[in-house]
Amino acid sequence: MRDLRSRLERIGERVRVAPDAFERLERTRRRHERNRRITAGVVALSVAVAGSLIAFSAFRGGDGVRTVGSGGSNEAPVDVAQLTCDASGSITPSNSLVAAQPNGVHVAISNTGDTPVSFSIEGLGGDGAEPGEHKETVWQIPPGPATVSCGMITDGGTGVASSATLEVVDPNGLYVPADLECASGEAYGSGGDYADGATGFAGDPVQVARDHVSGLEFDDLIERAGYPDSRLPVIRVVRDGAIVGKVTLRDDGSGGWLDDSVEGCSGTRFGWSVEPTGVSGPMGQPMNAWDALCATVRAGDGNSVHNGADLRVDGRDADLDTSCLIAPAGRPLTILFGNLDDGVPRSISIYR
Amino acid sequence: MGHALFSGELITGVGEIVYELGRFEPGEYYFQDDVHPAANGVLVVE
Repeated sequence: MRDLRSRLERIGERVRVAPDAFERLERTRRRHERNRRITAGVVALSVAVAGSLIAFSAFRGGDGVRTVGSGGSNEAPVDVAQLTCDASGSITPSNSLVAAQPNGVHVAISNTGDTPVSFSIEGLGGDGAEPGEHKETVWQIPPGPATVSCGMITDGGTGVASSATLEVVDPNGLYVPADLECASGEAYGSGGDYADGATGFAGDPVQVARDHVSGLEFDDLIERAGYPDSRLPVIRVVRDGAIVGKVTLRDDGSGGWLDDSVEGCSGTRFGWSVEPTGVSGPMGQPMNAWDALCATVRAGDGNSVHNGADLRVDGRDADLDTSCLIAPAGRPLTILFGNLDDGVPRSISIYR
Repeated sequence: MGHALFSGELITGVGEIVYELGRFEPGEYYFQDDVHPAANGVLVVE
């Protein structure tokens, strides 16, 4: 009997409603409701972001007609991006979309503060603006997002900096990529170093590059890249479908072009040559046109320096001392290669 | 240009180097100074 009473009392304890039970139940219900709303908000935001990305992808990959989906922006790209750096060091773009122009992307910076500001575009460089100054500059920003930053210049250096994102659009397809596509992932580069007054080579920049870049092969595709009217013309070298070289030229001030930089993938040997190099190879002339070059060599016996199993070739300036070598088949061949120029690199390769 | 059958080691400055090419089949081949591609010619193996 006592056991039965104990059991009934325990059951009574379980079913007894606590004084604050309703409040706890209400708090739980509200927490669940809040969580449901947060989840719904996150999902909605994700859908909106995904929708914007899809719309943006369609815009970038299409023919330049901007597709704006639900939740997207109707902002039209401007020809000149207007950026304001204020007294607090904040940067404010008046428009987030800017359209590329034939010579690059135009960016105007206004310094509304009372201290000089530095202005930079990630990966490309920067500029400065004095208090109250408004200036427009042109940058070689590829299509896509670009981070622009602004910072106050103080005696202690650059102060508070802030950044914003510009989206460069290229509705007319002006930009031609020039980033190297090296299979090895490794590249090299060099920059031209000239004294004031140095004179370059007149003519079309692509032809100048074709004439003065060494290491080109005759089936390389050499063409203008970047923006078509950029102040520093960019020429890319495409070999077997990949960009393996990039040359940037600069104006010498009198209509000629100097090399500003030469870049190449490892395994290539691009450089700048004052002497015209041309593009290697027969350039349309039939192979048998070289028969004439060999007439003199052929007249010699099989033991001359250019005729025989053990050949000799000397290099001086941009020339070799022969354009013809004759050698016997089936025998091991050697070339004794002499470099007659101090400090000049050279090598010989054989192709078929 | 086709493919390289032999790529000579780069030599910088006054000096000499011996390239061992191996054996070649009869035919016409193209050689060049890779640093100065305008310096080029034909290798006739016969």
